[in-house]
Amino acid sequence: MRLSRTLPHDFGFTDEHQMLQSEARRVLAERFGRATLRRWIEGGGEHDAELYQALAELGWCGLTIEERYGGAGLGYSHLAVLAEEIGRALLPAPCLASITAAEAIALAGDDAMKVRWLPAIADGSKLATAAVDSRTGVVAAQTADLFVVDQTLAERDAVTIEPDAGLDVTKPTATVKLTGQGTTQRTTLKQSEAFQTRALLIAAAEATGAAEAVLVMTRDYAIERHQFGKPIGAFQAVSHPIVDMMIGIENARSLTYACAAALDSDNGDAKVLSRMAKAAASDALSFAVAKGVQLHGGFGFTWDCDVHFYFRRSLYERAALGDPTDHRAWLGEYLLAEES
Amino acid sequence: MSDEDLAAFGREVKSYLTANRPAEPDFVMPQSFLEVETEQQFTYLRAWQRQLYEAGHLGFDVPEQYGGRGVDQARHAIVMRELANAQMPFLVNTIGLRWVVPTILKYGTEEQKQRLVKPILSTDHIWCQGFSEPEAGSDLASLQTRAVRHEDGYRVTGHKVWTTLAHFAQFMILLARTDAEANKYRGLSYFLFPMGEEGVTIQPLLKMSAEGGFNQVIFDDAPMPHDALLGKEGQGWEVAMATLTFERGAAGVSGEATSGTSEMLDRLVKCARDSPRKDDRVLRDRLASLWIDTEAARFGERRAAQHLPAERPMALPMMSKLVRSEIDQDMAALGCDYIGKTARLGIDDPAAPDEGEWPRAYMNSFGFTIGGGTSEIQRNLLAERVLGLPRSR
Repeated sequence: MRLSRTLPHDFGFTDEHQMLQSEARRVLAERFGRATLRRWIEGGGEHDAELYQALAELGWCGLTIEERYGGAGLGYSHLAVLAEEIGRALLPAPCLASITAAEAIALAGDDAMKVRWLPAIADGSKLATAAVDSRTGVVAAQTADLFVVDQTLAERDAVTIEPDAGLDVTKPTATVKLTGQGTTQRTTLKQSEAFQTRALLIAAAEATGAAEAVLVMTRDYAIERHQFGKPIGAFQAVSHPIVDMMIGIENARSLTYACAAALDSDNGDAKVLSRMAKAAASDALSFAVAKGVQLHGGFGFTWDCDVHFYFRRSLYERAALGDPTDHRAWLGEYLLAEES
Repeated sequence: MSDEDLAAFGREVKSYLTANRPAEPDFVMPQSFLEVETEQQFTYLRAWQRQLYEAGHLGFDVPEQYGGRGVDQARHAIVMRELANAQMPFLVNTIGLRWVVPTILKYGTEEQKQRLVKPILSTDHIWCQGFSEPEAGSDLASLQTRAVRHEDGYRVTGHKVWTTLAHFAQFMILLARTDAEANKYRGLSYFLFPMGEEGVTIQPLLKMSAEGGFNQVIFDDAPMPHDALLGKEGQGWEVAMATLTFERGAAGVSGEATSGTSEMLDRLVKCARDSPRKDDRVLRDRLASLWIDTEAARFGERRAAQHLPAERPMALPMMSKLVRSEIDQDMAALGCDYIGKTARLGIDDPAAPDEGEWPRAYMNSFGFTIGGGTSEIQRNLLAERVLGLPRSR
């Protein structure tokens, strides 16, 4: 109902997606495992240019950029898989910010702009970011070379950057304003609906991945932590919320994949599905981190338990690109207004 | 079949259904196969399923040599979807179609397959299920109904409960204890019990909605032939688990399961639009939430049928019944909230919106969150079998 049923029977998923997922997970486990995440956060959270370059070489910064502009030319279903792995690791390296900005340029930039910037974004030589939500700061602004803001493509000399004191240091944000001078190009890069949809998809996938990490952590803890002579996961008051975490995550994942497939097949459903996916993923992550802390007991309440890094991510994530209440309001209005 | 051929098939089914909708009954229809109470309801529904079978639209999950159309998941899913979209009457022999057919195809002898599968499709044999007992519900393996060997076969003594359709059935899938000395699981055997009159007493049970549809069945030395045994003696638990797997989620893979949920959402949206509380934002938020959940379940079923996520391949099929039953329950509750004061009225009251459908659906929704494995048991199973958490018992 209200969504077409023209998705390909296999969501467009192939062995290629499986390989991309395995490879991304392996690379992130090696280069940015949780011990590394903790060290990075506790060490002040500096941008790792070398890591970013290595990921660019893997094609991560230009995954959906067309091949003729130096990208991997892959689809949104591939992007959803990669973004989920990136979210699972809480990777601060702003590959997704660059990809999001590249989407904006690809959608509305003229050919000269695309030729000038997309290859540089794809090969990692230029970091880019886009203002996706006027109510929250621009992510990864402090390290970006290129900014998509206020219908303008601006270089660093054309903006002022005022960093926020965010709770999630893996998502540093800032207020970015155009100075009116410096190197800018006026474009039609306004907050188009198509751009919004893609930004929502990326965010939903990333949040789903983060929730997944919390699920695995909490499940593992419930098996290894013993009380009353047994693993605490044997108690239904512990196991049932973990099951509910999983259900929320699988739902978010289904909607995210469906949105990606809708974008890849251009069947018109992505606008609705992107909002559904984002709402579901935000709620899945919020639920996971709350239960995640709770079920880790006393340890969960301390700085030393990794769940709170994801908890902070959920605070950022819920605020960026509209929280579930906003999306449900839009969806509810859409549902009630439409002719059946 | 290509996507185009499948689309053409879908259109063909749709136009058949449009042209062949059975006449509106002048009696109250049960909401599902769980509430079929009267001879009148049963006859109507049986005729509908028979008609569909004879038109060739049933049996895409059954090999041709056993009376089906040949196994074709895609076409099966399309038929189920079109039936739901067109809001056609449900298939009365659901237990037979969804639970018994796959079980017989998996464990039956050639003779049993040849004899018993086709009549399920045609409705010549209606089936019921004899698993649960008054003292053996969630803890099914502790069941006590005995099947004692006899020169002509077996004699059955015991007591089954929640037996939907027993009053119309020709056959029952019966789980009984053949060996009282063995370990509780290994003492069980699975039978295809022909519902005779000797030694069998069927007593109707009333649901909280005041509707009938299920029964208790008391066996007192009831005779059962040798060839009623499915599989081997002592294999009953394994076969029953297969049936429960079919009952709980396999249907989800074909997309059939969420068709009902999607269809209910359509009715809920209409109810909301017609309601004086249409603009209430709190209710609208709940409605949007249920739409999200419904689409997630629908796409989840499609995902389950394909390249499964590496994490946990069994998650989606195993969570299907749990998720759907809870969505359906929440939708019914929301429907009651949308109609507000009139939710207290029953079908006999002319002021009851949609003929009292919403409170009735809400009451009946507990049949699904409890039956077929309670939501609590489902969560235990998901915890243990999908997440690898330790057993809670």
